[in-house]
Formats: sequence, C-alpha cells, structure tokens
Amino acid sequence: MAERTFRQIMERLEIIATTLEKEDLELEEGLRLFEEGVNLVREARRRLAEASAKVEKLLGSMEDLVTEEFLLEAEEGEEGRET
Amino acid sequence: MRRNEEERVYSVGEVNRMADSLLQELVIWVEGEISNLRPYPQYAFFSLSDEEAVLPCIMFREAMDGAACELREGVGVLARGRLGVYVKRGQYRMNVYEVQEAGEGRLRREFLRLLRQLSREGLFDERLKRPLPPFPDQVGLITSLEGAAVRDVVTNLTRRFPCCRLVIRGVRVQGEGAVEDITSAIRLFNEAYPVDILILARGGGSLEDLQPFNSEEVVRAIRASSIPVVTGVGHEPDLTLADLAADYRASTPTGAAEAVVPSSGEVMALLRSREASLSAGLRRRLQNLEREFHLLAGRRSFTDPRLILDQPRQRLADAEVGMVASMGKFLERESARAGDYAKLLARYPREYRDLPGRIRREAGRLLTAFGAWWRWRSGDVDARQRDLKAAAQSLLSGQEGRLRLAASRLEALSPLAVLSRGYAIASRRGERRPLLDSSEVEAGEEIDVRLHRGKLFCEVKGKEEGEGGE
Repeated sequence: MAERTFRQIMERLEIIATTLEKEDLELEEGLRLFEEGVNLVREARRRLAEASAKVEKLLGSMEDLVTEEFLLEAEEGEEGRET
Repeated sequence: MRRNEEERVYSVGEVNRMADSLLQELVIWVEGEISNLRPYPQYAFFSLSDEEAVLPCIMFREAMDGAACELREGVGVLARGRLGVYVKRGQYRMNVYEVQEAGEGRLRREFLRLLRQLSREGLFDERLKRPLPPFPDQVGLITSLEGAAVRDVVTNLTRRFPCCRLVIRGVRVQGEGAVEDITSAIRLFNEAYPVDILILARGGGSLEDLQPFNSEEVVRAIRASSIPVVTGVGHEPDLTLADLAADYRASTPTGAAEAVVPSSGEVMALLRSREASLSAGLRRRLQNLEREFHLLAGRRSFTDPRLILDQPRQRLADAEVGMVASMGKFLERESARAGDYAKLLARYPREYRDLPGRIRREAGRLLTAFGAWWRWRSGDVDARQRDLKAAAQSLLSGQEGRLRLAASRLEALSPLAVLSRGYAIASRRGERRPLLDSSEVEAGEEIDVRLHRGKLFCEVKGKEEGEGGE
C-alpha cells in the first residue's frame, strides 16, 4: 500500500477528530480511533521534521512529459533580476 | 547651364500636385504625440511628434466625431491617415482619418473594455472562487525559469512547508508567445499532470509587460482550469485580469507561495490542537459512558436484582388471579346449572342423578390444582434461584465425574500406568527404545530396566531366544 501523503494524514485526522465528538460512538471504536489519531499526529510531526520539499521542472509536451530536478541558479546579487 | 530641349518644364502647382498624388498612395498608421493643436469648427491642425521628427496633420470634423479619443495636447496617439501635399503652400502633411490612444493609454482602454466584457460574463464572480487545499501534496508553478519570481516561490515554498512537491513549468511571461505558453501550461497541468494547486507568477512590470496577464485567453484558461489557481504577479499595485479570474490573488510571487502552503509552525500548532481535541473527544466519550453507567447502576433494578423480575411477575400474577377467578366462576355457574340439571336428571337412571355432586367435586379438585400452580408460578424468586443453582451444580458435578472418568482412561493408556501394574521396560544402556526381542542384546551387555518407581542397571547373564517371553 502506498504511503499516505501528508494531505491524506491531515484529512484522516480531521475525520477522526470529528468522529470522536459524536455521541453514538462505541467505546471500543473510540479507543481505536484515538490510537490511530495519536499515531497520525506522530507521523505528521516526524515528516515535518524530516522531509524536505522536492522541486522539479516539467519538460516536454502533453504526450511526452518528463520531470527533472530543478536547482536554483546561483544567486546573482541579493536583489536578482526582474523578469 | 542649358536645359535639355526634350525635358518638360512644370509649373509649381503641377509639381505640388504630382507630389500629392504620389504620396496619396500611402495610407498608414503612425505613432506620435500630439502637439501644436489648433482646433477649428470644421477641422483641426496639429503635429505628431517623437524624439526625432515632426509630422504636420489635419483632421476633419467627421473624422474627429468618430474618433476613439479626444485630441489633446501632449497625448500619445496612434493615427491612421493618408499622406499628401497642400498644393497651395507646398506643405507636406497627413490627413488623419482615425486616432487611438497609444501605448499605456491604449492598453488601459483595452483592459477596461475586457474587464467590463468579462465581468458581464461572470468570469470574475466571487462565487466561482474555489477554496485552496490546506495541505497540498503537489504544487504546480507556471512562471519564467529565470528571474526573481521563480526563486521567490521556490525559496518560500520549500522553507515553509517541506511535505510537498513543487513542479515548475517554465513559460515566457511577456512578449510574443507568452499568452500561448501560459494557456497551454495551464491545460498541460490539468490534462496531463494533475497537481493540487497551481501558482501563476511573474515579477512586476509595465502594463505592456503584463499584457499576457490581461489577455482574454489567459483569463479563460484560468477559469477553465479544474485545479485552483493562485496568482502572484509582480509588485505592481495594479490588478491584472488574471488576478481577478484566479481563485486567490496574492500580490507577489512570495505571497503566492505563502497562500498555497502553510508554514511548518502553523501545521505544528494545528497538530497540537488536533491532539488536544482527540484527547478531549475520548475523555468526553468516557465521561458520557461513566454518567450512563451511574444512571443505570443507580436504578433499583440493579440495587435489588429481584426487581428486574418484578414487573413481569406482577403482570403474570394478575393474569393468573384473573384466570383462577374466571375458572371459579365458570365452575360455579356450571354447578348451579348442574343443580338445575339435577332436577331434570332425577327422572333419569340413578348413575346420572349423582352428576351434580361429581361436577362439584371435580371443580374443587381443579381449583386446588390451580391454586398450587399459581403459588408455584408466583413463588419466591430466591427459592427458584436455589433450585436453578442446585440443578446447575448437579449438572456440573455430572460433568466433573465424566471428566475424572476420561482422565483416568487417558492415564490407563500411558505406558507409565502399565508400569504401575507391575510391568517393566528394558532398554539398551543410554537408549530409550524398549527391547522387544532377546536377540537384540548379547550376554554380558548392560541394559536399563525401568520400573513403576526408579530404574535398575543390569547385566545380561544369559538369554533365551523364542516367541513370547512368558
């Protein structure tokens, strides 16, 4: 199974938090959700701390797309040029 | 200097007319600034000038009435007209048919026209604005690969939120091909490379530079995008039409990056509050359960279990009383009628004469039986519990007996149990496999003999071959 994305983690957390507030929840289910939620919070924290954003450029045409790592060119003076 | 005889001599007027007719071929657009304006009722004289030169012009009333802009001193215009010569003075000039404001003025006018048209169509409607996903996994960026805009977005986005991927499509953002590049990049992401959100960015610039962002094509491409679009255009205070069409408008590329992803700090704070709400949710759940439990536990049915049975038992008892009563009535009625019958029966043989007495006795018996049954049904719960317990115990002890029996049978099958009956097992020294045949050992060999309790270490003195060791 593919790893959950950060967004999916946050969406699941939201659902869990809302469900836990419902009155008609069985205790067993509540405990299970609580545990899942706590694990998701832990996972999200870990990713925030460890992940680093990927930057790529998209090349080619509609039929034939490739991505390639994008590196910022060396700073040419702090101000840079306007486009 | 002599003139050639063949050469024709022209009059001044002829020359000027000739020049006029040659120039009249040229109907052209000229850009320049209006100066030296002299308006008259039926026409106006003015000059178009730029840094290099001056062009005298005349414009007639009917052309002025249909003109897209007023003639004003110092205004840059695009003028279309026919060149010619004023024969009388030999003065070269342009007869202007139409004028438009040039440069910024023209662009601004075009901007306002499109703004009005596209607003009427509802393309800038607030209701069309889509919410931005709070934690995008993939962000698309459409901008020039060079310059400050791309750097601003990349730096801010990666610094703020590390849990995402930024995919950049490089485009021309001004001049020729820019509109085409931008619209096809928006389509590209939508059709072939779906991301969660798109940023359309460029650095600031003049109105001319921003022209692609004010084009109808880009506006329509933004609205046709099924991916939400955020614009971040320059440091200009002016809005572009692309800004108006976008789902969210940031005033700079940096602002766009900030609008699109949360900062790690914000996410951490959100996680803390999520965590708190998880605990709060569970705690509330537990408190509710506890309250429910106390409510239930406080009910009399639980403090006195017999009360659970109270209601049904009451109903049963009522029903039974009713039954006994009506049975009694029935029997009484019947015996009364039997009395009546008796009179009739008196005329019949003797065995029938006793019928009313028999019925009365029968009724008495029935009433007694009913009474007993009723007392049993409504009898003491504790007494019945005792009965149940006794029954359960006898059942259990039956099972226990069977278990003991089964265990003893199992024991009987164990070889060790056989030893307890006086048999012994012999095996070669150090081996566990029992000896079955005397031929397996030689005289003088050492063997072990296992008894019910303990072991003997023996030496074979002699042996006898044969069937059965008896």
